Amino acid sequence: MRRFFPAIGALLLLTGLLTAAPKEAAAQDARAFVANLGTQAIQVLGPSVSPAQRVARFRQLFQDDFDVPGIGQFVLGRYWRTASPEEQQEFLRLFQEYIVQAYAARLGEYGGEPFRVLGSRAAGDETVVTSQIDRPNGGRVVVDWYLINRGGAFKITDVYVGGVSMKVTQRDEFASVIQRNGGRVDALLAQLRQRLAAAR
Amino acid sequence: VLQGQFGLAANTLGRVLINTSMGMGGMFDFATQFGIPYHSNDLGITLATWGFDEGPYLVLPVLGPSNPRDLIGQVGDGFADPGDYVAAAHHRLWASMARALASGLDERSRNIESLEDIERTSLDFYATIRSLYRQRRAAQIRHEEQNLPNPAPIGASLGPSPAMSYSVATGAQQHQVSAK
Repeated sequence: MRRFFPAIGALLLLTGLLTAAPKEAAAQDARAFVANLGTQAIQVLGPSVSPAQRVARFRQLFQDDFDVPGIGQFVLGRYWRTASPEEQQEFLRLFQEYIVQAYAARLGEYGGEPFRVLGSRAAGDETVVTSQIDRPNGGRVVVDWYLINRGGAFKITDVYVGGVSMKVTQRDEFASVIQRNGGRVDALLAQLRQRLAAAR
Repeated sequence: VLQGQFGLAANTLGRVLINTSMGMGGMFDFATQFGIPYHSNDLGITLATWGFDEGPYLVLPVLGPSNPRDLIGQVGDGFADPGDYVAAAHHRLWASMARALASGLDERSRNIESLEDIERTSLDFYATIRSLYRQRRAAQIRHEEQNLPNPAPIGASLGPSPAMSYSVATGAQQHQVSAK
């Protein structure tokens, strides 16, 4: 009887390894995804790129690598349910363009400093990849990327910069605009439309 | 002491003793030269560790963005930060916001450009700043609770003394003015 125990132990170990292996592979893929994104960002968004080109390239990157519908629904918060299907569709369209305009400008300052992936951890059905950007003046910015696997492809669901969620910040801003206008989603849509028209 | 972080408390006590005796009541930061690190901590964090909810967010024109819990903390901290008194002579709102954000949103000099960028690109600048401030605060408290270093210790990112963070805040104001 006793000699069965090592066999059972080996079997348990083996099944443990078999289930752990895909998880580790997924975590590795997630880290590679973010590392690749960093390299790509340096190439397409660097300071030598013209503002118009930067906007176009960032739009492409945002559409390809971010979970735009999921983020859009989150940032509208509880007002998503009160919005009509038409308003929801228009919001997603305007929201995407607003983010592209705002962040393309903000990322223009990013001078392609060293971007390092530090590690990853699981958070529910998402994978969080932690990265660090070293500033030329010796400072560091820690950026956490929240990734979800959608049919074999990673999509970014949120980005934390120095412990601050970009998704939550955006939701709070939009909620404030809607609340100041008596809870009307169309007021936010009007402001977004106006802002985008001015940016053109 | 109230947070039960005795190592940090002893450290802070040592800093206070050194700074009050040698640094003219804390105006100059000799403790750091003695190798005792600065902990960015205040009573607001103490109260949070005790489980006080942060409550509604307040903006006090004099004190800058705050909430009741942190306000109690700020009043309690009182003399601890001479930089606050210097900043009070100037536009406190901007100084406090810039200091709160400068303490880690983007670490060091680029903060100010970032603030201007946010002002230019956001629909509701005030709501954005409020959200950033609250999240920074929550992240800071979370790190304190886990006994981790602050995500962005003010002492490390802006120089050790309150006077240093004040000069950054003044820079923010000048930037604000010159941007107009």
